[in-house]
Amino acid sequence: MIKGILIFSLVSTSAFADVLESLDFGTIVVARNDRVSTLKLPTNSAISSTNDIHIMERGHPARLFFEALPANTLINFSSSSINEELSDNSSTFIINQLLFKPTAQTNAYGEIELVVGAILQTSGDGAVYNDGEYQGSVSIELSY
Amino acid sequence: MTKNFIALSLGLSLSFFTISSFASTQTQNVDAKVTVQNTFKLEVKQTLDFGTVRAVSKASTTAALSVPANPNLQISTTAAGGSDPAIMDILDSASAQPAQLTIAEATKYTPLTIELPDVGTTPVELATTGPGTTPVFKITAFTLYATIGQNANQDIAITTNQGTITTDGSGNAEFNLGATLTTDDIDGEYVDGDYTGTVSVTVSY
Repeated sequence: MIKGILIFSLVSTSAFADVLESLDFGTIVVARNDRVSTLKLPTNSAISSTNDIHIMERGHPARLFFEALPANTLINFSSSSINEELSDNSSTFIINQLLFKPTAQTNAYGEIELVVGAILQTSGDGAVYNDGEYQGSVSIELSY
Repeated sequence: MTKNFIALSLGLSLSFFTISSFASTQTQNVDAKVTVQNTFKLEVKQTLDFGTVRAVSKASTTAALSVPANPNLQISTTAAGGSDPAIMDILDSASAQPAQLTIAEATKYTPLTIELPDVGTTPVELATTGPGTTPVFKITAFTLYATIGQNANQDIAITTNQGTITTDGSGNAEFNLGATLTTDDIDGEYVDGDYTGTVSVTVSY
C-alpha cells in the first residue's frame, strides 16, 4: 500500500511553468503599410526594425521559468505557433518566427529559464494600423 | 497470502521506474502584444503674419513681399516694373513673422515629411470683406527652416512642395514656415483691413 501511494505521487508530478514576463514588442509607429515591415525582438533585447516600422518604446522578450523537472536533464523546446496574429479586431500583425534556444539543460534543482523573442511583421497590404494595443498569444512546447 | 503480497509489491515497484523514465511533453501559452502609436502632436505655435503694407493691384504686373522662414534673413519686397506698376510697400513690419509649427510625441531621430500646398499651381488667397471687385493677395511660394530637431537651425529644402525635418532625441521638432505674398492680377483697389486665409500643412512619417 505504501508503494502504491508513492507511485501516485510521482506520476502526478510534472513541470510547473511560470511566465515571468510576457512577450511585449513595445510601442511602434507603422508609418506606411504598402510593403511588409518587420520588428525583430531577439532574446538579448537588441530590438530592430525594417522599412516603415519605427520603434518608439522598446519591448522585451518573454521569460518563462520551469521547475519540477528532472535535474541536469536536456530539455527540448519547440513551438507549433506559426504565423500567430496580434489583432485589435480590425488590423493584424503576424508573428512569423519565435526566437529561443531549442535545447537547454536543467540545473540541479530541475529548474530552467527560457527567453523567447520573436519577429513581428506587418501585412504590407495597405491596411491602416490604428493606434492601440494588438494582442495575441504564442505557445511553447517543452519535452524531455 | 504473504507470497502474493510480495509479488504485488514488486510489480508496483517496476511500474514506478518505468513511468519516471518516460519522456514528457508540456505546452505553455505566452501572451504577446504590440502597441501602435502612429499619431503625434502637431500644433501651430505662431501664425504667419505679413505685417502692414500699402498695396496696389494691377493686371499687368505684380509686386511681392517675402517673410522668410529663416530668422536670420530680413523681410523683403519685390517691386513691379513699368510705368504704372503694382505696389507692395512695407508700412509696419513689427508684427510680421513666419508661422511656427511644433511637433511632439513622435519617434526620436525620425524624418518627417512636411507637405505644403502647391501654390505654384493654385495660390493660397488672403481676402477681406468688401466689394466683390476687391483684389486678393496670393501666397505664391513657401520657405521652411528647422528650429528644433536633428537638422535644427538650417533651411529645409522644398522639393515638389515637400520638405523633411528630423525629430530630436525626444521625438520633438519645430519649424518655421515663411511665404511670399503677391499682389492680385487684376486692376483694383485694396480696401483697408485684415486680409486672411488658411494654409494647410501636413506632417507625416
